[in-house]
Amino acid sequence: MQLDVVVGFFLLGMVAQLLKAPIKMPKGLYESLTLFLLIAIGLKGGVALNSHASGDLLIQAAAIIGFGLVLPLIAFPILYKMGGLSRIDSASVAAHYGSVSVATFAVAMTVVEANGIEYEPYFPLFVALLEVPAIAVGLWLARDRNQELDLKKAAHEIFLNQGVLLLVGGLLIGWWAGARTDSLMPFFSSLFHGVLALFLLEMGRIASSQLGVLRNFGSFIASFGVLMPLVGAGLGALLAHALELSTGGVILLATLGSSASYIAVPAAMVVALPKANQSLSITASLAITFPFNVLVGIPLYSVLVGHWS
Amino acid sequence: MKKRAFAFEMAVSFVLMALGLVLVQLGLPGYGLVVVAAILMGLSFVTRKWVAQTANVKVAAPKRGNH
Repeated sequence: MQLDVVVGFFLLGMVAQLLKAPIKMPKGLYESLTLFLLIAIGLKGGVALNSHASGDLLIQAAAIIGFGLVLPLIAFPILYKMGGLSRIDSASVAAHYGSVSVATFAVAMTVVEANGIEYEPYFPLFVALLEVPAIAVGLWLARDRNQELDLKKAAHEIFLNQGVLLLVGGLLIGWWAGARTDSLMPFFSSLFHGVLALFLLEMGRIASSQLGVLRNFGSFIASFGVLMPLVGAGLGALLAHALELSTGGVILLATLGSSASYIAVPAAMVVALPKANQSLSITASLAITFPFNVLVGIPLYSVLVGHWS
Repeated sequence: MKKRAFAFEMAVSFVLMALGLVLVQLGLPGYGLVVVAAILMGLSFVTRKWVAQTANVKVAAPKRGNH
């Protein structure tokens, strides 16, 4: 299986940054591309939900939430016991790895579709469901009896941050409107790959610029940023198999399990755990795990799932 | 704790290397894992050397000030 063409733009962004060649995106374009991807993925999943909603979906959704609760519990002891990170930093990084990356999911969805592999079209629902539980577990792991947590403010950031809001909002609009979204689809569907390519160009640049920060945190976080995706992918694939998902569904759930959040969780953690080292989590998820998944992980999961299914 | 972190890094590198080589033996694309394992192993040694050098420079600085 070859790398998808959009990954080429990610590599271009990385190489350009490493060579210090200027690729200057207009201010605000990166944020606009993020908004587009969140709404497009939510809308697509919502339209699928409109015609696929069933009792089985509830069981699958419950299992997915359970998956989101388990992942940070696996990540935390590795960071705390093996890496010697503080309790708050370990909990914060664990929350990032329990949650998911919409951009990684978009790349996996593109790869699956490009190879003509079928998947459950309501998968964006699982993306939305996996965004939140890990944040709650992260806050529980970081709990300090001497420190009061502003629950109202934290809950606001957990459930109403931009990532969750747009993804869930898109899902609900797509579910409610169904086929009436056809008038929007020339924009949100036809332009999806082009927008993803532009987004990945900027992501490659950002990921590459974060690599220097590794010197501050040492190589432990790099090893963790590669091991945890493989553990998450393995568990995700096993869960998808147990839920009797399609081949594409197994690849996508493995990808979701392997991805780490860098939009929704950081926004929540800044408010809920202000003492946590945010750049540690961002470096791990953005500079290590995201490139690993895009360049090595997704092609590998696709081939392995295809080989054994 | 530093020894434990180093042991973890080495274990991850070796597991990735072994996994990658097994996949290659099976005719599957495991080269990516082998390359990543090599990069991680190199990073483990390079960053420790860099930290040790930085620490030496910091220790040497006050001595110069005493003269």
